[in-house]
Amino acid sequence: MSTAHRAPEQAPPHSADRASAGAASEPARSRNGRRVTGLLVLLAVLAVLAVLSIALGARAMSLGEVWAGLTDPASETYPVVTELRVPRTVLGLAAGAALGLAGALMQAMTRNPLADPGLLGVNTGAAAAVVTAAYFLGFSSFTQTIGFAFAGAAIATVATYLIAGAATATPARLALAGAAVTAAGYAYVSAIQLMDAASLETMRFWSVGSLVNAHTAPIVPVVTLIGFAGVVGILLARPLNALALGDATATGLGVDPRVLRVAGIAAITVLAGTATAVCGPIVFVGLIVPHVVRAFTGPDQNWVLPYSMLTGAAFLLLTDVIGRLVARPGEVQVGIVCAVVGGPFFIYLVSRRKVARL
Amino acid sequence: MTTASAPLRAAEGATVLRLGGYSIRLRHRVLAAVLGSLAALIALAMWSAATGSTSLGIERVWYALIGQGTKGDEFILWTLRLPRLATGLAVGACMGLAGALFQNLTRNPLGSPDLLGLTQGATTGALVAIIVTGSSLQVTTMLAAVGSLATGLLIWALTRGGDPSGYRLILVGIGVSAILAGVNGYLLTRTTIIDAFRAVYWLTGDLSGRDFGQAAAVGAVLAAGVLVIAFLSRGLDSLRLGEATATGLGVSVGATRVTALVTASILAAGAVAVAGPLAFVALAAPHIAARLTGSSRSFLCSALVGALIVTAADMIAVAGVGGRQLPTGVVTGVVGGAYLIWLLIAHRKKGVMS
Amino acid sequence: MTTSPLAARKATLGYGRTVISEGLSVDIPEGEFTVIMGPNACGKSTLLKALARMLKPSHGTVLLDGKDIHHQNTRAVARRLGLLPQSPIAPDGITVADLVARGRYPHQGILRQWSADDERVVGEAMAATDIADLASRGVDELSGGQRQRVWIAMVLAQQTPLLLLDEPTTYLDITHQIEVLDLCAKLHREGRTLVAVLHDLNQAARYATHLIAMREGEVVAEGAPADIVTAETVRQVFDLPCRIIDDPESGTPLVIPSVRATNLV
Repeated sequence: MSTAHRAPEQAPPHSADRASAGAASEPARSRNGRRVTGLLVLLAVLAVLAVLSIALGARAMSLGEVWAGLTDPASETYPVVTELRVPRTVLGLAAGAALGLAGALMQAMTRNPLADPGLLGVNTGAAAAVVTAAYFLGFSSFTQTIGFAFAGAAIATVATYLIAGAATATPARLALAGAAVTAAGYAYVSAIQLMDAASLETMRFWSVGSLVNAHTAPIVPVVTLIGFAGVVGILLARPLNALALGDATATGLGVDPRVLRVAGIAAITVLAGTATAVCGPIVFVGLIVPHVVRAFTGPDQNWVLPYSMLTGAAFLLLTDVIGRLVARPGEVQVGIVCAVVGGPFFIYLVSRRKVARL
Repeated sequence: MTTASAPLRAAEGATVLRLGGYSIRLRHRVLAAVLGSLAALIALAMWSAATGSTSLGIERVWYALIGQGTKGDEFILWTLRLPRLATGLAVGACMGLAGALFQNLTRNPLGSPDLLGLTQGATTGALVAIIVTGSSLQVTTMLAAVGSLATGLLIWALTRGGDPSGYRLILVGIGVSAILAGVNGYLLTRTTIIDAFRAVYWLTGDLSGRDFGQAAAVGAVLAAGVLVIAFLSRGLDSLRLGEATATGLGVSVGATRVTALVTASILAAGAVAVAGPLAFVALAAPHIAARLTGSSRSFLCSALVGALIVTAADMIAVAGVGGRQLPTGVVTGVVGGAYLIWLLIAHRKKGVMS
Repeated sequence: MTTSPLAARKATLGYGRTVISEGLSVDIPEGEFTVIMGPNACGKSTLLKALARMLKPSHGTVLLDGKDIHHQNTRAVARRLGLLPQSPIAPDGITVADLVARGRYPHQGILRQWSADDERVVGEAMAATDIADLASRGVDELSGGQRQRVWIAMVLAQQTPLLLLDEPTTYLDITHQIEVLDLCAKLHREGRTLVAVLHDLNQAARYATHLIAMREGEVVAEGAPADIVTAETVRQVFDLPCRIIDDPESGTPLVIPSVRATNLV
């Protein structure tokens, strides 16, 4: 899924490969070799995880059963594989890739390593819309709320951007405006939850983040949206590299920071908004994945963005599989596993290494 | 006390008060902001005591206050309203101070007990009390305080001897916060709807039913915090110029940081334990104070603004919507959020926050 | 007057409601090393920002090659005009070669990410600034002087005939200041048009071929250093009584503040 976004003509690995070897130094070359190898390893890991995600669950299957389930409509495992496990795996990949990329874009755009899409109000907006649908319209099922969640995320992001001063928005103002919108939105969500037990019931499961309902999600539109926004996001790598040198230098290099921020926010909104609509708020992926990635790739966005995409997909899939295994025959929601598995790893990472700032 | 306008330091709108060998320098704009906030707070507190489901009016409040009112008035005032008002004031001030300290320590405009996980820690404690042991408000309060302090300790232990810039502090805090949020979400999904309701209610934060005992507890925490900050604030001020400059000015950087972190954790723990995690107060108060004073730091003003937000929010919460009282935390989010949004829009060109 | 690739026409410049300059007209002569000087807060950095399209005049225009700079494609402008801001940001962990390579941005595209030209130009820019040996070093490990040369190399990699430098020598020790200015002089000799904001009058007099003296948002004097740097102009611009002698090294004017003036402080 994520590989499909990188059409050959963008091919960041190869071009960037030459880019840093420009001054022809040995360490730079070996670093690039490492980055290409890393990308291949990541793809392999992703393939293995995808197979595991199809094979493992309340009822574990052998590889033979998985194969039969994928290819033979008459087999016993066919319904489970095609109707439940494959959609779940595809959505896990798509959502993880979207969140990883959205996080990396957000951090690059604001030059703040603490930024994540949640800061733009994506999660709050989605939550407010879902609780509205639950309370006023009595919608509680996942398929009914998904459109609301996406619309809510988009509206909250636009509101944050406008409050921060639109074209004049600085990263710090964006962060503050996002925090303010989040506070106001969260208050609204709490108020409705406390007034209406049914809304609370919907929200307490929605808000932990889960792939349980993946099989009822509209897969084609979700994947198309994420794919489209993913391409746009990856194309921003080069201007974002210029922006990393400061707004003034970026202007000198012919990048208009205001135009770039609008494009970035649009891509982030679609990526994170779609992912959140499908699985609820999973904040941690967007925050930690780019950190892990930068520690390995260095600051070049041509590498950081595709790496974040793949790593995000791998991380979400892995935690979803873990969540299905630890509490069989039930499962622990992926948002919870993400936090509990990713948290200690993140802390280990920031305690051990010199953290790469932007 | 003599008032002298010292030629050098009073240059940009300040007055120096001297008494014997002691001197205090007051910047006029900060002074105006502090006095203005204080006046607004007093007015609001009186209004808050006078209104509610039974309107007393200032006169009856006064008589009840000095012990000459009717039994009913005295009951309403001394048992229902004043404890709640006092708790709200102390909680708001604690949160304002904790937020200012964290923003100072982390040198990040989003530094707050919420970002660093102290609130999540308190929530975990409270959820354990509500969901696992099904216990009373007192136990919930205790466990929330324990959870918050334990989180503070954990963050301190994990960052000890590390990156001194405060940067690692935030990152570790975010990590801890995310883990705890996951745990909290898990606890919430594994319980009955009734306990989940109680839990969400606590999570929202509320001041109803608080008594003078709780007000006194938060008040004690606040007093201790104010005392420490009074000694610490000049050191923290120097730290804003950077580690090296601060050391050069004779500030012991490590000790200042640890003391500030511990103080901020205790302030946040006290406030959250008693009132629940009132959304946004700790984050918004320092920013609003910065806007009012025109300087990027004023602990006193931040405390006053915190108290103002909570008191105002609680009045709105009591008035409620459609005859139904709201939990205070719902309103702090709306009031604080709306005010910050207004400030952001109204002061587009000013540089304090950008 | 020679042709002017870059000019301000009756430009009103400022931030928000604060007006720094009103109706300012300035021509940057082609092929010269222009230095803008003046006391603190005289509007020299503001003028440079306006010339670099960082700041849009509220009235009037800035012309690049005779056309309004704000009506031109910003990447096309970036191929004509390079800018070294006062405090650029180096991403953590970036190497010297990577940073210099980022100067190629305006010449690249999605389908043209790293051409042989890019490779050659980056190599030349690093050779010209004498940082080829540092290629694989992290920018954060370098000294102030080395770092400034890396940034200049990045702007050079942009391959623009026009270079704008905002206080390129600030925070450098005297050796590194001279090093950077010698580099600028070399770039000028090679045919580029340079515009720099400098603080040091004597350095300005020695290196510039064209001086613009500003005070309170207005151009007070303009011309060749030998004509401009006189006791009268220095007093008029800086309120500084002084004597002017010939620089024994270069023959350019050398400003010697009067003893009386130093005692006044």
